[in-house]
Amino acid sequence: MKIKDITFKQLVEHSSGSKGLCVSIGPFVVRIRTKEKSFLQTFSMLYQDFEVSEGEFVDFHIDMRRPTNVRRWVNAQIIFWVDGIAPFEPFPLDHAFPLFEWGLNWCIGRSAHQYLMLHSGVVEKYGKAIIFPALPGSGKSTLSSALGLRGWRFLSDEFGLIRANDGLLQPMPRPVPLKNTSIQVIQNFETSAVLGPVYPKTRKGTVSHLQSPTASVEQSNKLVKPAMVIFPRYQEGSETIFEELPAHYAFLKLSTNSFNYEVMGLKGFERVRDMIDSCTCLSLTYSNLDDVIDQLDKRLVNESSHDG
Amino acid sequence: MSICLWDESAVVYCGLSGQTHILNLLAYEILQLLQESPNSILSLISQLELLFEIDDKAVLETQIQELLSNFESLGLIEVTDSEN
Repeated sequence: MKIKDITFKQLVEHSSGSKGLCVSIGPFVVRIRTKEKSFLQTFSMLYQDFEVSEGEFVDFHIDMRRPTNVRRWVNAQIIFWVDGIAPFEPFPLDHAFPLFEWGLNWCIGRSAHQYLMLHSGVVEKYGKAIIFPALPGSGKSTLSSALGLRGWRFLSDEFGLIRANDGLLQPMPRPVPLKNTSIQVIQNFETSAVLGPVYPKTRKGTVSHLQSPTASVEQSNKLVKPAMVIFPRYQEGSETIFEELPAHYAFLKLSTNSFNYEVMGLKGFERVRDMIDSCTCLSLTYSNLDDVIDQLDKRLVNESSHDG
Repeated sequence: MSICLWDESAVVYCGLSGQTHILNLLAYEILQLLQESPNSILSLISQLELLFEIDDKAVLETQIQELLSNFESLGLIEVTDSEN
């Protein structure tokens, strides 16, 4: 049963009860307890295709609660609690959803060391995954979102999860937090794109979340082998330029891009080494989304023909 | 310690420190020789002279000495008295 299959009234009842609302998000089960209806409205829209879990085993127990002081009612705030601790300062109540998203990132980043976690977008087509590792502001979210909106399978915007034991990519197609000019870029690129509320003046500027493609969410359990590692960089007015990267340089870039390469020790080294050995490693400078999507498609077709 | 070589550069992972280092070909060859068996500095120099066919042996010796010193400080090798 998906989130969209239950009524809003049921959603509120579940999430305000002691058992909470348990949702499968990629490989994780997240239990959410809250009484905040406006948060739940946004959550139910952006996570509508995600499966409700019976919650036999929960990875993260999250409570979204107002403080107990005067800020409960005056200039109301919201606090993110996980496993009984509140790791962040309170946020304005109307920014509860971005707080939940950043909080969940924090939970995953500090504990999911069964994966090599890359700060990357991930998409797939023809059974081949492309990893886009990049620093914030490089355009990876915009590019991954655009590919998802053109029918590519969208696996992730923030976390490229590489399974430690076999190097396969684990999808986690959560909503994409588009920032600042990217919001308008994606709205212009695809008028049917579904975005949530606009949150101005967050720590990352203006943010609005893009709903992930239904088909991608439905394939959250379909793991895939990485085929290409492409380091993207948006540059206004640039042509689409791909450049091959020397393997040792790609290794350095990929390992430093990871959230937990050092924590994983030898396993981290082996996973990065295997990707460098088996993937085409490129840098990409672009400005035109349609052009870069066309060229990426051709490159994947070319990769597939070499396999065959 | 795990090493992989691509073209003329290598990447080594040191299990003791948990650090990863990028190596040039000379550094890679020294580590490979030392992984095969403990070796004296003089023996390393003579083997690497053959491998790299370098005319200016003094330069090569200096480079090798510097690399060994760096390796030791990074925990990649252990220098014992018997080598000196």
